[in-house]
Amino acid sequence: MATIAALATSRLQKAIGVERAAEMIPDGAVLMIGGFMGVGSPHRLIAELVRAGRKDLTVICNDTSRPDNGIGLLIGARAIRKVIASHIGTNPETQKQMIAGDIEVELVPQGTLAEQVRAGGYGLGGVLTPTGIGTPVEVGKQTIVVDGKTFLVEKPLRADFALIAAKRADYRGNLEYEMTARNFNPLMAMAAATVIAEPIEIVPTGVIAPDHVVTPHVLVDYIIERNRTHGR
Amino acid sequence: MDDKVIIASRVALELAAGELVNLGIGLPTMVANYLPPGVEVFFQSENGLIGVQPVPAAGLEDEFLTDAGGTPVGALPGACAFDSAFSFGLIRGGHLAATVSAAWRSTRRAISPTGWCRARWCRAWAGRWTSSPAPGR
Repeated sequence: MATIAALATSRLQKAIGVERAAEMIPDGAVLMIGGFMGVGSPHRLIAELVRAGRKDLTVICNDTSRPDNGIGLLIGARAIRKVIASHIGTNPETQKQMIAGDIEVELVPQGTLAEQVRAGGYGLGGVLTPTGIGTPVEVGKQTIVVDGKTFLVEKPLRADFALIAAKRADYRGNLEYEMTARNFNPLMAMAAATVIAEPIEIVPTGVIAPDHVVTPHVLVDYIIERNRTHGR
Repeated sequence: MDDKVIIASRVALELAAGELVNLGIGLPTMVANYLPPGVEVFFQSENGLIGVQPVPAAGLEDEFLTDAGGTPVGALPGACAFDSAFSFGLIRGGHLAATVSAAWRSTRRAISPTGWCRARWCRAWAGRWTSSPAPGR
């Protein structure tokens, strides 16, 4: 019995401090960061990357939010060398750095970006989509005709690290999301070599029913410990 | 009458009961306020919700429930939350009746700075490429 308990405990050692999580992420890493205008972004992880002075990051994300929020803070800290996103219209600082040549921006239609991340996680060679045919989006990309309809071949995206945010993590790392904070997080959780999840709540294993688990624990490498102040 | 009110109320007239309609950010979210009485339309916000409604009263905002611009919204009973692949599957897969998108220029109507279209492709300078709704509309 003691041996079984010891094994169970060792498998549960996924919780780490936010500082240790940031230490794992080197300059120049390719990151997927969840969130939509900062909603559902791992804010504590982002703040720690800024504090640690990370540089030359490639970030795959829906958007760079606003200058004072979410991924916008990494932009403001000049931590990002390249961003692959669906839009940057809400962050004038991203636009400024792009125009100055300090940051490379690759814009992807949002549905295509979601599918590229999904393909990266699902082991697909790419996805066929009609979005962007006949527009600048198709430049430089392969097209394919299936049953008389033309599609763009969009390649899978993968990252070194996926930094995701969740509403709840159980002790094993099963994740549940809340409302519009879900967005890209479950997709990114499949498409990176190392997945670090920042939950709002950590609950005992079994609290999240199987039907409510959106990201299975086997995909999650680390859970960020919750704030340690505990009412002090 | 304010230009935005004119556009929002005109767009609202185009929507029929029971339809799933995608809303872009900004002016499009006003459209919900101008639906004719008794017309129940289901609004999808691309950031992952069907059943968007305005926040019912001040003070009920939650940071995890927003429109695609990050502005807090409410959710009607029976609302559904989903991820971004699913969200765009609804759009690209032809499950919408219409999309209302802020556009600097559209392929069918040139209304500046915002407009709407039911055209095959509606190009938005905010960075959104919105595929058109169900065939035949």
